[in-house]
Amino acid sequence: MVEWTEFERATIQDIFSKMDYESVGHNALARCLVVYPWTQRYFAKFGNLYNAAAIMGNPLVAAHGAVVLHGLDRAVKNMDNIKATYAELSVLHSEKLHVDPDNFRLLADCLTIVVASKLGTGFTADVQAAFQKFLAVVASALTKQYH
Amino acid sequence: MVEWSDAERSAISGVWGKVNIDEIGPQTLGRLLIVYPWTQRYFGSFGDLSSAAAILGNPKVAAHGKVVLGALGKAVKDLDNIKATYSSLSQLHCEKLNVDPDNFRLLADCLTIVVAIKLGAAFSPQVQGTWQKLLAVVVAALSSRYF
Repeated sequence: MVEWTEFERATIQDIFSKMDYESVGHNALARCLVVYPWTQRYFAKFGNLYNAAAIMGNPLVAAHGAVVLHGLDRAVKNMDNIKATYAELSVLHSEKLHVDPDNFRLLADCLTIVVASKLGTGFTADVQAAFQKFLAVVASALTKQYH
Repeated sequence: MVEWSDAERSAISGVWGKVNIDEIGPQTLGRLLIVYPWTQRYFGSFGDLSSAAAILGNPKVAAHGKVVLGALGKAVKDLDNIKATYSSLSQLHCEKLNVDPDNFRLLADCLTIVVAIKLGAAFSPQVQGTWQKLLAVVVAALSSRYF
């Protein structure tokens, strides 16, 4: 089981309690689609993803970004049970959505960059380490049910 | 050869113009050593790396961060020749320093986070995409002389 220090728990709760889910979720997913364009293959139904401006302005991207980020809430509220928390979502991503699990890391990286630029100097090295550890655990849990 | 559009060239010099090597270099290397602690193995001669505070206050870490970021400047000044620019540094990292090339990507990730903190909203998705492309090309060049 993953061990969390007091500092790590407090850091994660703090970041998410202040988070603007709609804005950060939108920003993170949009960046993923812009910076790693192959990820667009999972969102063919979203309409115009033709260039960065189209992606940033696409309301389906914005809505889905918020959905994904609210999905992270479950881990934030359940840090001692993240693996079990995402068992169903892992099956969904593997068997229905067929998402290459490498992409979880890419989205996590984009989310880290958005949070870093929002928090500025408040995103210290220790905070970065805690946040990246949290996202790595989430990514691992989402990959767990893949064959 | 890598193709750079005018927009990409301009975005890169825009970002680089805001990068103060003396400030960004030490932060980047410091974060690498804190967030990915196994990288400390390459810096056995640097003295006290026993905590985040020690790493961030360590003068050898700061000095070496500046060296690394200064070397990145070579790529920025000569975007059309990055592979040749880093040929001898690649051999050095492989044959003398024995650095696992996976670590180049980790350092690049830390640098991107530090730049995102510095630039805030100016680090738009398009700029991020271009910046990460530059770092990916540099990482590939540094890995190119490995067997």
